[in-house]
Amino acid sequence: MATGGGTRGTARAPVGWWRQVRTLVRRELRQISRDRVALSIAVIAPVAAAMLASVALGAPRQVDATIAIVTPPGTSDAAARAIAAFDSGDFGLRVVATESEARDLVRSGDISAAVVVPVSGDEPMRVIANRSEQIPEAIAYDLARLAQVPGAAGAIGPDSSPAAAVITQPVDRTLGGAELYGHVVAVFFLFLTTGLVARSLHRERTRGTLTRMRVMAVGSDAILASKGIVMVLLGGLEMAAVLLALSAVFGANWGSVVATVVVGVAITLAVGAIALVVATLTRSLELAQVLELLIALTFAALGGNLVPLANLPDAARFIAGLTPNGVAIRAFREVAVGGTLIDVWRSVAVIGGLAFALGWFAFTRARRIVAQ
Amino acid sequence: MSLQVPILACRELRWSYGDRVAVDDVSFDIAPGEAFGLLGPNGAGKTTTIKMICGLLPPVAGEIFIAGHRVEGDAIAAKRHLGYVPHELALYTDLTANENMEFFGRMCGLRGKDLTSRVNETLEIVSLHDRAKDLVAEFSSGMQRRLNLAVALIANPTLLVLDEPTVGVDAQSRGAILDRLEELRATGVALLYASHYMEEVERLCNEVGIIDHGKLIAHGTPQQLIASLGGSQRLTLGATGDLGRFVGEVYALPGVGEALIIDGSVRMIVDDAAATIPTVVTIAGRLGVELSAIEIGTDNLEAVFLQLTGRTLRD
Repeated sequence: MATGGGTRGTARAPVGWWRQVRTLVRRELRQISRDRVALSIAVIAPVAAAMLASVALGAPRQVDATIAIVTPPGTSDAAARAIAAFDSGDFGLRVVATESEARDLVRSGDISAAVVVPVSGDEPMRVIANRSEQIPEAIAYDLARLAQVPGAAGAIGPDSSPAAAVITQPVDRTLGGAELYGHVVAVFFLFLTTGLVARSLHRERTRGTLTRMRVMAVGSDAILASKGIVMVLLGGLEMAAVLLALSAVFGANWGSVVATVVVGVAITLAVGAIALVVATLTRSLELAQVLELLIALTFAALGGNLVPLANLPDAARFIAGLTPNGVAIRAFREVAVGGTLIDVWRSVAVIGGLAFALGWFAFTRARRIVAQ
Repeated sequence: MSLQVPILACRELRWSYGDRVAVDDVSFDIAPGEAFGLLGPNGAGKTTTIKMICGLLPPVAGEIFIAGHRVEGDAIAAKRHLGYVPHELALYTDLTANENMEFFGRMCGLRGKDLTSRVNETLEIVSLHDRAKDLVAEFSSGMQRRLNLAVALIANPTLLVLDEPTVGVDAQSRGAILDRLEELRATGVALLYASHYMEEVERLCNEVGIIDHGKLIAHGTPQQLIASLGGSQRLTLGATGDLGRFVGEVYALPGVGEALIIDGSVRMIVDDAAATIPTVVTIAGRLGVELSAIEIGTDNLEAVFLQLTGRTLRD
């Protein structure tokens, strides 16, 4: 019989923490690469869903809508000119004198939505929308929000010149169905992909491999760090697959790559932390699976993944702003219309803070599970 | 008991789940190349004792030393000498045998050529080298059990702790596993073998501890333990009828050490089977108990356990 070389019990060199993490990550990725269900959830299903949403909800150059710009008496011509600069030819743009006239036109269906320019530059712009026309409504909100953007806001002031270069290009990007719904689908599927990794903790516990690793002096920190890394990698793969596929097929432009990646990593960590919390609060794989799906659907509904934010009442929009996915969708959209990392740093901070808080809670609970 | 420096030393171990004491004042040593069998029924405290030895549970009281390293204080050094074969199959079934071995080998600090050669050697030990590139999910349960053992051997341990490693394994695979363990023992590996398969422990172990209700109630070589019964014999009666009354009467007979109803038969420990049987048959006839079989057996560890605890190992 072969008995092995080396001195018994001393053949092993102490294993560094990072080396353990790397080995764990490699093993987990190898397992995922062989799991057809995991690959379907992480790549095929989100790409297919995003494609369908993009086609069903309209390609960028096919929006059949008219947006009105309401310039009541007292607003400057410069404001009207600035807003008119949005007219890229992708949709009809009409200037209306009064808010009540715009409201009537929206009700009658002659126009899809209207942006009301305030008399005072300090007041916010308002949107009058027909809730049955989601894309025009979203466009109107984007127009209003962009006109309020510091710097761009000057474009509607009485003494400033139109900031056409700042505004028109982003608006052109915002119009795409793929760009409107790509992030929405990608973020929804993040719940499912990170859930796959979080649930593997249960699988390892019931299989006994966690116990075996503990006997081999593998720390729970290394095990959990590897899960976190795999979550980010798998989440990143899912988001990249969706965004790249939509770019390739529909020519979607997501704006700043750096800002998109930063927001993407932040939301992946936050959603991953939620998935890990769920996994640590449940005692079985099956229960974790059901609860994760329920949580995913709840967050998706609240955060605007199932129903476009523009189609929600104000209260629901407020709630969406409290969910990490809702904040992320807005941040992604802001980046897509020309925003940079500086423009979305608050969103990134909110999502990152939530990821940290939930992640810490999940980590302390998960350590207990690993140690059991 | 060997005079060699023990590779495993357990001192007055104690563990409790709330008010229930699961392990109570358990002490024993294992020297290099020795095999210690831990016998006991389910829930006796075997697995809890093993978990403490493997550093999975901190003892409420007592100390454990592996190769001189205290498990509680110097866990990493202690675990470098330890190989653990858990009761369940702790394997990644979606990886190949080779990938499982490489993964656990790396986690133990092996790499490069050392890792490759050790993986090959260990798979050869358990006769799985020709299936190294197959997915574990495609293995029979016996092959999975052998791989479960191989993973524990990857880092060349000095102490191998096995928690019922042959559960659910066919006779052929069980024989193969026991053969490998005997060979390992011959190379100087110390074994701690927990099981409720008495015949495995009798074959493999030079020393046996019987644990029940958390206490190590007997401890010695199999021969010493069997001799402690004083040369008594086992009598197993296939019987139907009012067995409760029957057992009550035969237990009162002189020379009867134990009489129990187990799995529908009556098991007795008697000083002299030939002298006892006629009286037993008479009592059975008087009580209307029908005897279908009478089997006389010599002493073994099962009888020792029965005598000490009034229970069978599989209770």
